[in-house]
Amino acid sequence: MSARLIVEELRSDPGDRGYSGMDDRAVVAELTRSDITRSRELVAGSEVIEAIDDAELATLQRNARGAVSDLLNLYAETPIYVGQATRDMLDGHFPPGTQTHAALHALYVETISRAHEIGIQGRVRVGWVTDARRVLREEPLRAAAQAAGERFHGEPSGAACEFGDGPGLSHSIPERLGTHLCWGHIQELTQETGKRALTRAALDPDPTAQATSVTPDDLLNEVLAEMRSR
Amino acid sequence: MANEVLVKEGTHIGLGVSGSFSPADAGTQWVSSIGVVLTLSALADGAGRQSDKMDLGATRARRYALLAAVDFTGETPTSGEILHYYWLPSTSTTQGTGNVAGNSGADAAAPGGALGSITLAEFALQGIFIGSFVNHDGAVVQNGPVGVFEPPTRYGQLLVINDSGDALEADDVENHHALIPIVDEVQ
Repeated sequence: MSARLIVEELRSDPGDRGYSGMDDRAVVAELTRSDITRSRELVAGSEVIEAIDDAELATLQRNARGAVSDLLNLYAETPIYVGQATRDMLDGHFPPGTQTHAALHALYVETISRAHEIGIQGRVRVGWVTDARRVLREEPLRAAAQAAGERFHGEPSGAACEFGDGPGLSHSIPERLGTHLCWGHIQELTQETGKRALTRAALDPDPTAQATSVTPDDLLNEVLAEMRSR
Repeated sequence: MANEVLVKEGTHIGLGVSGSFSPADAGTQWVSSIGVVLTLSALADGAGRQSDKMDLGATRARRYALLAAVDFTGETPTSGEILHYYWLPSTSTTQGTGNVAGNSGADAAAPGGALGSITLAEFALQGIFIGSFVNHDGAVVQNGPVGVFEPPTRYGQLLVINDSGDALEADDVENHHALIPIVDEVQ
């Protein structure tokens, strides 16, 4: 549900990152930039082992060395919760100024991206941002359509319907027709096209030949031309 | 003696943009013509596209195979990433009627015209998963099988989600898909 997480991120922009002024690719770059430093509560036991300097460990008194070894033996394969008590205990053994102290404290923080912070693991895709922005753009339109008692069928193109005012909002479907139609006229067009397609299929002696779209481009354009001539 | 039920191929259904479709390499061309509109030009990484609603026929095959040909020329897809495919069944010949999530039934950026504040990922979950096409990192036309599925109704749409790591080529000269009816036949 990464797209839903991005919807909420873009809606409120809690970090004032200025998403509204960015294109989709820039938003992806912003979301995936590692620029947030946060405290870690869990570190791998193996990370702590790596952080401890052998020579410094050897200087500890037997009891302290035993305590550290016990801790690491216990958690070598599992994450260690490094709450304040654990940190204080380790600081007691490896005080400021030691290599181990510096290495351990480097473990207690991590730098992550905003995407990671809000729960998106792995890649952030441009299409997710595009999709999230569509959802946000459509929200007021959905509300307006609902208030007007209409169904909402996607965001309008902003251009006027070629056949004048009709029910629903105007949509751009340039790949299909190169024009703008309101939903009512889209319905009219496709219904007429559907009837024609059925007629054509009925006349076709090969039943498998009708296994194509009910609205191929040429048929749509044919009906569109007929609607224009009325 | 019992009769055998063997299979044969029905008429291939090509999905793409008929006005643009003109593959340069026959090696990646699944079909000779396009019957159902599915515009994939410049489909962004993470974006989805729904096809026009299609009619599989009053009598149809039980199963269909889906074959993909996607064009990454000039693009940089990531090896091991995926394009996902879903079937969106419909009960009506009318384009805007009886569609998954109330979508428009038209070739459009998905989810096109769907009801409610639905994201692409949520829209996909409401469809029937057909399969995935795992791409390599070549900036070429890549083609192969996606899967076999059983459409529950006569009408439906194809949903393509591009999670390949980059956008598709910005034209539909090579991008296309083929639905192959697998017809059961009593011998």
